[in-house]
Amino acid sequence: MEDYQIVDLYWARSEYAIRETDQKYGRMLNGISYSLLASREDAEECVNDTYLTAWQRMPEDRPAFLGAYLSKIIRCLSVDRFRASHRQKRGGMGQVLEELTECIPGGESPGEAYENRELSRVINDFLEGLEEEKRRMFVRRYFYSDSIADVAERMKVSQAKVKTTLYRIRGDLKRRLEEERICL
Amino acid sequence: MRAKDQQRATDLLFDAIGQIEDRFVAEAATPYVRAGKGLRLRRSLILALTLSLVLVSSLGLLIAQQVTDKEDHAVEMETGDILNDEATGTVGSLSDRLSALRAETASLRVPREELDLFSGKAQVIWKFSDESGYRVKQVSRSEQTELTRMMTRDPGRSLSTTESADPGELEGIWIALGDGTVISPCLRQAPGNTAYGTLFSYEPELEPSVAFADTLCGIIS
Repeated sequence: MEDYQIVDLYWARSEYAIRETDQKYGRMLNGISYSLLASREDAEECVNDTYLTAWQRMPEDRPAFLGAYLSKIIRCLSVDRFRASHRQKRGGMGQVLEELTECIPGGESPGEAYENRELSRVINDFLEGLEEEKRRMFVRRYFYSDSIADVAERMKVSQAKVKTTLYRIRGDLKRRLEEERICL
Repeated sequence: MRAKDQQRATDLLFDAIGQIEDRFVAEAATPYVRAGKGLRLRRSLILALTLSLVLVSSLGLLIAQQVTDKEDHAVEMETGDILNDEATGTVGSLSDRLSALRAETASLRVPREELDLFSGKAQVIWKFSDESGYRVKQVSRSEQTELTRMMTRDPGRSLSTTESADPGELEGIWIALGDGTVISPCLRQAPGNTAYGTLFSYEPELEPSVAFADTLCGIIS
């Protein structure tokens, strides 16, 4: 079933909306959550919470890319759960966060006022300027929290190349944030 | 920067990445096709070139049609004239004709997960409603061009809004151009009927012409 058809089901408050969503995106959503939480039970709960959130937000929302819309919801829910449990596991989200510390711009101390929306704008502009291959690597690693091995397999390159490319992208992002005077 | 502040900053950055535009999220969810050596064209450029080619071809054919006779090439069907009743002038639908080739095309069946719409090679894909797999026939560029030309030149018979084609055993038929673009001979050629990276369900708008069915069945059998 196409995305627009599934969204129509939500808008019509049809009982089949969740079923069709699960059939099309359940596996992907489970994968995203598991990458962050490293727990099957928690991932399943986040998937169910995602469906509930989508049901509550639609109608009102009418996403063009349903997969992306749901991915953002489950990522947010999974991150909240991760932080709530104070887990600091190696691998999964913990390792991704460690890598992102390299992107924190230098300069002013934290506590400076910032606009979350401005930060998102800069990141979107940054991604727009990346070559497709690099952008995909970045999004797979830092949005979807794929492992280096999974990114390499998906992009059909070596793990060494993924690591090198991501390292350079992080450096570029840091410089971009500094140029934009983004304080975190 | 203190560790606590660094963690806070990292969390902010991680959260901001979670709010990137949907198109970037959707792009990264689709399979990545690495361009061949010496040919690094962006996928969007390939799509634009393909659609431009279809448009130019259709315009050229419209002009040529005004000064030349219509002559559709009917490829001789190895299945004979079972569905071509010349005496009564009736011709079986595309669904009927594909159904007649079921045994012959059984070896072309593949499960959905093996479908590759970004292989760089054009394919005809069809599915019967009582089967879980898809039948896939890779076609040459000239065959694909011929099929899309015929779809544009003579799309077939429009199905009225009150009439629905008897789908028979055929659940759907698609032509994948190899770059992710997917169209169907049972739908009018329009941007809204062109999918990307997916085989879509549809309500048929057209019954393809006899000539198209002849050519298609000749290619896949």
